[in-house]
Amino acid sequence: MPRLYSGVRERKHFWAAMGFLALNLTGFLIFTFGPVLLSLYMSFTNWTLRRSVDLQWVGLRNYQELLSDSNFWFYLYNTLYFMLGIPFAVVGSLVLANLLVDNMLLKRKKLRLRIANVLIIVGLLTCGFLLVGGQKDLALILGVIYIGAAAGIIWGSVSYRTMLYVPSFASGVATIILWQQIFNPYYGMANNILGELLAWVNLDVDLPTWLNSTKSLLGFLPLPATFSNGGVGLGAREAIMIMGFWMGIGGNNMILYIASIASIPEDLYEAADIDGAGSVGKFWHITVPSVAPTTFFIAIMATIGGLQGGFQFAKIMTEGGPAGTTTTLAYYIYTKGFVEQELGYAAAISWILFIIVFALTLVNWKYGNRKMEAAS
Amino acid sequence: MKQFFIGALVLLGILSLVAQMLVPAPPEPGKTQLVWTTDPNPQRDPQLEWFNKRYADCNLRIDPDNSDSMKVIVQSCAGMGPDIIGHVGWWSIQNYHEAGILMDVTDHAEAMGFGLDTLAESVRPLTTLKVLNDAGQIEDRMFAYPCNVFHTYLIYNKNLFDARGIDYPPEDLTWQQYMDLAKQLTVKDEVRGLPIIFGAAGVKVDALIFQHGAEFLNEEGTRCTMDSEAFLDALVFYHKLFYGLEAEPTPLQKAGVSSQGGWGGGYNNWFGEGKIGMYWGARWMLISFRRFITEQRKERDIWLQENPGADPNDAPEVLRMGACQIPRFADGPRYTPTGARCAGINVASPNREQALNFLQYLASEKYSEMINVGADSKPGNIAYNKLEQFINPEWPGEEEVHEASLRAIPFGRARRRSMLINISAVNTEFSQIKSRLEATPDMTREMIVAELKRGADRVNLAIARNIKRNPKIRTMYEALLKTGAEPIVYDLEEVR
Amino acid sequence: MSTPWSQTPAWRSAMVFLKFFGVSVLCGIMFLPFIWMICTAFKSSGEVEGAHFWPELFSPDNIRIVLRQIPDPFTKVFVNLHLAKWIFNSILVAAWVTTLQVFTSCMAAYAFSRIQWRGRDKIFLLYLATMMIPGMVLTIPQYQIMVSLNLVNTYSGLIIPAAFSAFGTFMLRQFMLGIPQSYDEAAEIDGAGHCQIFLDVILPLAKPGMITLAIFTFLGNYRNLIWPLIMIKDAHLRTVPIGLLSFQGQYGAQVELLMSATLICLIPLILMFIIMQKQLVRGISLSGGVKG
Repeated sequence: MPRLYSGVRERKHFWAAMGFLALNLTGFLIFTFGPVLLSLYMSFTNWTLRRSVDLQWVGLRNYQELLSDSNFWFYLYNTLYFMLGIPFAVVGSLVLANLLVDNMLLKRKKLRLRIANVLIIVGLLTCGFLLVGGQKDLALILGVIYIGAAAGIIWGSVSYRTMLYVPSFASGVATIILWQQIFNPYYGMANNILGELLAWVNLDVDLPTWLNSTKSLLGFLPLPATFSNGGVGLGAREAIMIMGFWMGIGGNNMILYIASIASIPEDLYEAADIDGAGSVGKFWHITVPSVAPTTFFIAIMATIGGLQGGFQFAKIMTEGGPAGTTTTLAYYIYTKGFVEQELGYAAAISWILFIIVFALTLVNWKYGNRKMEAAS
Repeated sequence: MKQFFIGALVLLGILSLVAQMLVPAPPEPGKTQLVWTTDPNPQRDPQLEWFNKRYADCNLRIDPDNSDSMKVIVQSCAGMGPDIIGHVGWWSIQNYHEAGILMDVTDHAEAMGFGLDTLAESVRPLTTLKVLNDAGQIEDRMFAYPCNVFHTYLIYNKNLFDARGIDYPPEDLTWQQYMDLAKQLTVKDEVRGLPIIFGAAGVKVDALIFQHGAEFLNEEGTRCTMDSEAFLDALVFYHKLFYGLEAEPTPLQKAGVSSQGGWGGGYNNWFGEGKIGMYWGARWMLISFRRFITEQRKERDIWLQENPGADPNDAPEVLRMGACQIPRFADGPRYTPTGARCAGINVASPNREQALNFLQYLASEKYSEMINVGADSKPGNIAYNKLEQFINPEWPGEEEVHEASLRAIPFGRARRRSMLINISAVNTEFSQIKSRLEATPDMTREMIVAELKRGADRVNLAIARNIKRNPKIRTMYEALLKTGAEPIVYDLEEVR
Repeated sequence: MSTPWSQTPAWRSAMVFLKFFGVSVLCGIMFLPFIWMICTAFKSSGEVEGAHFWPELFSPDNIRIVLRQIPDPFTKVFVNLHLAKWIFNSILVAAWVTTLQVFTSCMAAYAFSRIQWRGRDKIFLLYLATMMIPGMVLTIPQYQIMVSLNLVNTYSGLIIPAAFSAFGTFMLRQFMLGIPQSYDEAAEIDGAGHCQIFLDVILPLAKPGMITLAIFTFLGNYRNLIWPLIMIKDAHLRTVPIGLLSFQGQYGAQVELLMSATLICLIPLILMFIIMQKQLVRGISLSGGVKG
């Protein structure tokens, strides 16, 4: 008896699900799934754009060539290296989102306006002073901070979120340029601060040359010569990872987490308050588990993005240098596919990337499913 | 929720109606519509205007592109490519030809007056490719025509020479003189020992390679010659220019000049600011330099106004340019890198015949005049490459640059191509080696040898694979062997 | 028993002050690249490469040049920019894509998260899997499909393929997974069918997710370059990123004008973001009339 019942119910659910899914599934099959299947087929052929070559099935030849291609392994190493910074960026976004999910408005409007006025006056005085004294850049930077603070007091977290998020989509190239300045080995802020620190601790070590150095933190590994390994140290890869972290914490992930945390029902927090939990406790035991589905999403998208990204960074900031240490697989796919016109080979690279990401996703999925079932 | 969705849909519906109404009427019937895919540089607009005036039965317009070949390739694969393809460069011409996109214009060129005889000899190889014709012979066919051409020569900053009391470089500059001048002109910061003014910058490795008598491929294109002794010597010298002789800024030294970074075009701006003594440049840089000069003049005028009666020698300087040829070895040949941005015709275009008018236009006087006045490098047609046509009366003081530009033409040379392999593969291998050279201060001769051997080996393997897997390339290889070419390095039996 | 020191008003005020101070400094610093862009928009040509923010040779004319009110002083012609048309096109296409995508993704996410059916997880993994292929290799087949559907060089061609996204489905599914099942069961007991549960229970609760998806989709589509570049041939269809290509000439960009134009084109995006993210505050999910 129970089986019959569940069979009918399942079928009804199936058609209901199809009803909801129909539109999306059709578009998906035509515009996404079809091309994907085609590219899989192409990775087993000798597809190039040359009219002189007939399309031929070559089986695993592309993949075999890939595995013995030293460039592929080098760029794969670079790409995986950059992904090591993802957990830090995700945690950073979560912390920021937790801070900014509330209104952050002080209770009384008059108090807000008064504090904002004080800030603006102090700001104008300081910056005016600096301007007259000729320190125009410093005046501008401090002015921005003062205005940011005043806006934050008046409008609360709305202004903070805007100030954090807008640069992430608006000023890509500007951010990269500013970070190049920061990482300048002689005049940049990074080495200035590091120099002071090292002097304070009395360590006499050479300052890292960041974007011009082929060193990396994993430089002690026995890498083949084609990997341009300059030894242990802080080099271009670390510089780009730091930059990626900085650009990433205020970006899409932060907004996602804000939306996610905003959906957590208030009664969970109220119950925790009654139990006497502090804010750290509430964060760790309520917020983090409740946003687990979003964390899964962010982790997967970050992995996908990490394996497919780095294109813009490489091109503008370092041109894939120094000595190719910041070139990623995405760039290799582009050159092989559209410059050397070996599209079958490029498809094969893409599918190897796919296998890696898919494997990581499956691991994440199984782990996440178990956690979610335990939580509910 | 529901109201929001419905409201949004209504609003979008209204906007779409507005958009439909704003669609312009189809262009005049009776005129052939021609589409030219290139970068939407504002300088193109007068060029388009004149074309449409001259060929009244055509209406040419630009489809913007981002100077990659991706758009043209994707569109042409599906048969929706443009009529005229811009950005056909010395390597992309092979790509487009192999993808079957470019039209063979040799016969039309002769008839319509833009044949190879209108191009300088050093420029011709940039527009032709070797093809196997029906009779089984290899011949050169023309596939594109230059929109503009450049040759590299040396531009120097006269102010810096005068300030140090050094004589200007002679027209027939040798490498030894070049290095001495670079050393004399370099000014170093006392505190850190880093250069704040570079004696010379912008050296082109191709010039060194050609001047040593080396090449990337052998004459018939069957072997990669990057591992030859001459090539090795050229690269060792190139490396020494950076790290031994200090005649070229290293990446670290570049960072030491505090205004490093920025939107690209670093060396151009530094030269304009007077931070580089001798610069490997070409005529298209005049566009940027003219901007600098205008602003420097403004600054100078403002300064003179604010300080009346002061010594004019203290006023901020305006850039004064001189030019000479790039250096050569004392008893060696002089070769300088050359390039051209060409336009080609899409073989699948239904408007092929009218599109050919565009190539004729590129060789015409009016077009060449616009290129000359705007200093947009040099026009393709050699007949309009004359000093009096280069000189723009609004910009005096550029005569030496124009003269050097003309004198550099016979020395131009570009990398050899091969029928058996896509030249981009060779380029990629070499740029990896080059970037490693520039980033590694302590690169020994043995290390360079190892790199070159590896690179040459990969290219040779790729050539062998192409021949093995592609019957058409195999036919070309056999035709080459018949003309007495050197056989390839790899044994075809051993290659998959 | 006196209150622990971590609960005294003084401590709380100090924490609040620290919070505001810290966030302000952080936001100020993060906002600097944007300020750099604004400064560059007012610099003169030679200054752009400099390492300083403040424009020494202040040129307010850059904005007027970009808006075609005065000609470019170097070339003596008006720049060939049509910012209004491009912004209109970009907004139209992005708005359509956002609406369609949120709509279809919501429904698909509901099917993947709230309904139990055979093959659900397998098909979902299929969706996920297609996102893992780098998009570049898919361009050629996708374009050929567009050609065969006759959608090239039209508004529809820009809108329709982008309206179906595995990304949106994935994201909303994760959001919906966070909604407790008790709400569904309560509604079912009351006799509600799937449609009603979807419209009355889930949709209001998933509003933060939908708003977030709308923000991401709108921003992403507005700034997309490659797909419109390949699809569009006519001038009246051009979107903002294609229009701004005019500045990337063969010899480098005229950066100060590019910055002015970019800033003008960013204004709709910033406004949209400010309006939409006001909705993302804690506690909004309770508005929806859910029993429970």
